[in-house]
Amino acid sequence: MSVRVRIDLDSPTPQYEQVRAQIAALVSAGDLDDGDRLPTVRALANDLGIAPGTIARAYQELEAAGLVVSRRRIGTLVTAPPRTLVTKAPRDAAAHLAALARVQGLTDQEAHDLLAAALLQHGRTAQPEVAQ
Amino acid sequence: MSAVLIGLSLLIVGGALGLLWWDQRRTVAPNDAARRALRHAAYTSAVALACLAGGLLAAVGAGLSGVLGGMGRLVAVLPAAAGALFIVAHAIGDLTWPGPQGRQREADLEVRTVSELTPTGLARWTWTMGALLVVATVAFGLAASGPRTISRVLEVGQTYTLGSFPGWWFGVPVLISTIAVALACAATLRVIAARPAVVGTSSDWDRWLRRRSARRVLRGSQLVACMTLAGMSQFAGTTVRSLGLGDTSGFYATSVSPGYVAVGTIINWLAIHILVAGTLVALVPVRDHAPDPETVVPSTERVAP
Repeated sequence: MSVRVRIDLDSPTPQYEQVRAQIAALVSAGDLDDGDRLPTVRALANDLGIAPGTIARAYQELEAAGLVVSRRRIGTLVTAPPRTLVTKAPRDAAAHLAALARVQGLTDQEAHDLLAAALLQHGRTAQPEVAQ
Repeated sequence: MSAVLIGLSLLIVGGALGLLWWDQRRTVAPNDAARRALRHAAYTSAVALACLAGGLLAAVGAGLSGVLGGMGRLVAVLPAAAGALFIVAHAIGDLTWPGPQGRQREADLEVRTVSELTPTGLARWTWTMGALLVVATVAFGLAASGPRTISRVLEVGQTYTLGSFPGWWFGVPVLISTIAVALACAATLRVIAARPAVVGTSSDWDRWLRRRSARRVLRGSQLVACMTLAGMSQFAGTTVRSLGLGDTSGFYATSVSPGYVAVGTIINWLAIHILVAGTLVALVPVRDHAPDPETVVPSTERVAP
């Protein structure tokens, strides 16, 4: 099974964020397993026709979030977080939200907006550190 | 002589370009992007081949006609210079490979390594020929009694010295150019592995096209290594044989040394076989056809929302 990423150059979302979000989603969904290698920055940038710096930033953000690790000579490896009981309930709720969004005919953007709104309503708690 | 060489050069280059054109025409391209990629690959190979053939024929012509008499070092590095031009032409072609168009783009998250894309046997042969060239050059340098001479001890206090021999005078530029070509070859293979994937084609088809590019780069590189090795060996073998035969006339007559004659003959024999083997590896076609787009089973894909 091949795993793909897509970018939309007209999207208001920055390109690095599009790549980061999709790889993070693929890791969470289990399509990318622990130890899987990601393509090199240059190869993925060439395939998508964007600047290597954009992919490098996406990989840096993923590394800061603990989803991948970059090793010299080996490349970038997925370090999928273990599916613990702590994350099971939010994962199930997210799956439920996605299913409901499909049934109601919402677009992906509208579903994302709903989740963002819900997160805003519950206030900001325990923000993860992001690399500057 | 020069008219024959020019005619032969045009014949070889014309034949090779015709072969490239036929190869590009017979390949079934799944879509427009693939057709564009095939055309780009054909142009790249045509330019690279013209550089290689021109350089190699210039080296052979200079060696046979003696046009560059007294500039033996230049003749020795001409094949490597032709190889460097060939590799640079391929590198430029791969660096300017047509990328994805449009506002929506997608890419497989798959790793492509050089070792996966290069035919194992051909890669091993190429690196072996490069290593043999380095070993032979160092061996000739160590065997030489001077920068361009080799000596044979006749009896205590007497030596018989002959030139020209591929000592360090020729060996150093050959070593430097060989290492430069090897580094350029390795770098170009990495560029081939990282160049943009052909949009809308299967992973198999895209890998086939990369494999073909890598094979062409390796074939040219090994031909350059084999020609340089054959030339150096032929040069050394002839001088060693003459050293063994000695000078049986005149006041300073020397005896025949069967050992030197045998070694020289063996080196000459090896040189011819290396040249033939390198030429065969460069020219003999391999069975690696493009995957038929209609029979390729589309792989299951997962795309994040």
